[in-house]
Amino acid sequence: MSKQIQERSADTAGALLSVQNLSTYYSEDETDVPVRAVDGVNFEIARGETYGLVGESGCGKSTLGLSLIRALPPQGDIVDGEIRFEGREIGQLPKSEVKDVQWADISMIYQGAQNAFNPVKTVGDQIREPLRVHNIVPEGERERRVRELLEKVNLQPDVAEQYPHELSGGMKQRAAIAMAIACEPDLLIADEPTTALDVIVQAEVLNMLQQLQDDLNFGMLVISHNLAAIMKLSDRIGVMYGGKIVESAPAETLYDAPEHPYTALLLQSLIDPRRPPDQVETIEGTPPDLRDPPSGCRFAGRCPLATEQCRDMEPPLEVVGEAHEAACFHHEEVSEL
Amino acid sequence: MSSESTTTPPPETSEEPILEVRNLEKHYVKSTGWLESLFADEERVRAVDGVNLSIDEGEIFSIVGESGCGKTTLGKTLLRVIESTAGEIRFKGTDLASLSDSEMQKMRQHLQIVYQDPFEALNPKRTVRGLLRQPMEIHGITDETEQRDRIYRALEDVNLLPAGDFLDRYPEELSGGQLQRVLFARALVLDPEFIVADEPSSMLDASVRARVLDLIDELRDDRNISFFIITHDIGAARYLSDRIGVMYLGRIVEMGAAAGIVDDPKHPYSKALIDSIPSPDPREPLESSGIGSEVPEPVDLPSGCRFHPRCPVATEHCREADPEWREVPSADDAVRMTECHEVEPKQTPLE
Repeated sequence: MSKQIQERSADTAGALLSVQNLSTYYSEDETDVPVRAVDGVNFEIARGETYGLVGESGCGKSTLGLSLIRALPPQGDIVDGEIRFEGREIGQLPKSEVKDVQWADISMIYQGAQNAFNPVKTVGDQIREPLRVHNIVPEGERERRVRELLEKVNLQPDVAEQYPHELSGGMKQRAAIAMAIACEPDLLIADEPTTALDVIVQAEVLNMLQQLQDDLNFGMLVISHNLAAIMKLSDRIGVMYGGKIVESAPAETLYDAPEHPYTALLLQSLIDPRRPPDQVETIEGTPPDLRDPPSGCRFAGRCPLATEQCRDMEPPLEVVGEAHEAACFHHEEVSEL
Repeated sequence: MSSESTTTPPPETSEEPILEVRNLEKHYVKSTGWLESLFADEERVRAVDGVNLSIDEGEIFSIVGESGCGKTTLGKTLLRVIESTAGEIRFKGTDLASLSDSEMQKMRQHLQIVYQDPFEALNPKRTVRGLLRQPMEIHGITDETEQRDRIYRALEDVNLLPAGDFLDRYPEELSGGQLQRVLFARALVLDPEFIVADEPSSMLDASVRARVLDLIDELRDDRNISFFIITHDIGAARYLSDRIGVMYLGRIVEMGAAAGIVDDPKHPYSKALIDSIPSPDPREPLESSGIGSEVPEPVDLPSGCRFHPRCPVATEHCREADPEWREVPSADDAVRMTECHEVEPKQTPLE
């Protein structure tokens, strides 16, 4: 369903979320050299659209998600750029107003959410919390609403009376999803929603997110290092490397014809067990130090196509095809990799 | 050999398997409050419940299944990291259960385990040199030249090159992929013949995962080490292994050649597991297992086939009778074993 929305979203003038030149840095104090975790990122998400963000650990993708919902740890700061949500700038909202946005407008399934429940409160109490804070459902009806939400994520309504330790990992992840959709947000951020879950639960969670989006028509940002899961869920995908989006395209385009060498190598490192490759590729080397990123292309040190130019100059994110952008001087050679 | 040898066909080679497991069980009593324990029968968790398995020399065998299926307990029980409740584990013919603690300690040199989380498994206060020396000290390899040679050879074999550059580094100075290789090097200094590796690739990004898988393959080729790999990554299992065993609620329910198991699973549980793996092609619809995601606890096991409550093809018979572990026909030429009433057994040709 959401896959078809992509054609419509292209001509939707007002995006649900529009991020421009966003930079988020981490530093312990003012004298510290900051870690440039997110460094000048642009993208948009339309209502009903799913944008997938993929990249290795440490590439800045979770920081980007936390920036959008304004839930960065104390060391993290949005130092530049704009986050527009339904036209309103929320990147610099004061703390007091951020609370109005969280859960009600934008909600997030945090990484490891299944382990983030308070162990001494019942699941129902915890799902009720955002309903109470935003006073979206009258007090007398919250009980019923919690049971409805649990049913929406295929849990028995009486799970509300249970404590987190009584639930399996998959059940907890579904409860976390119920909590995230409690206030019917317009944008749902899911950070590694299937990591640490085994394949059967993984498939269930992916199907559930898709189904809920079809029902509720929220925009969705899915963050994962699991490229196969991202490919399945997303209309558009942004590939992040060293704090920057280095390629973005519709999922099918990215899968068929990547134009950034990093994307191409990531795809070659996948093992589809039904069609196993003879040789799986490895990306040699390690990601750049984001306290002191290289002056040219951040991938140059690991890139088989890198030349002198790549080490001297940073390649801009350029249009390379229909709805397709890549930041690589040698994007025309990527198909030969 | 026993009288069995007259009825079963002789093995293809005269060589003994490196590891042979018969009717292995690991049951433990679920801890309950003392008051409850006065009134209720104790609950037995049957984490491993009758496993039969044999692994050949130089073979890579992977065990796959959902969390809670017992695969990690099985791996640890094989090496007596956890003591079994019943059954036999023969390593090159010696029954490990019969060994005293000190005999077992000596035997451990040949049988190593590599744990899944390198960040947790390595002492952050020791250098790579210290981390690799420690197992040798424990096993009485104290000659410094000998230690040095083994450390260099192990680091070279796991491709941490030049080895000298890594000796004085601490774990926090290494990447996840490098740490994973230090874990392997730590097992290799003892020159083992059999390694149990628990989720060797699951903590790693896809970009470096392949390197660890290739490493295991090289170690098998160069050092003739046999591997028992515990994983939920079926892609990795197929890429790497000779054979795969599928485990469900304490039992291996299907076993066969790696490619055959993935391409043509016979047991309905194997099918569900494999059907739920996402293919990366965005044009293909989302996968679904079709069996729900709730794994029952191995406490009150269902009667008959333990998979029947989730099984899409279960019949009345499955609820009543235990399925038999038997050979079934498969498209590949390899031996395929499964326990399912609904899969027709292989017809043995009359001689």
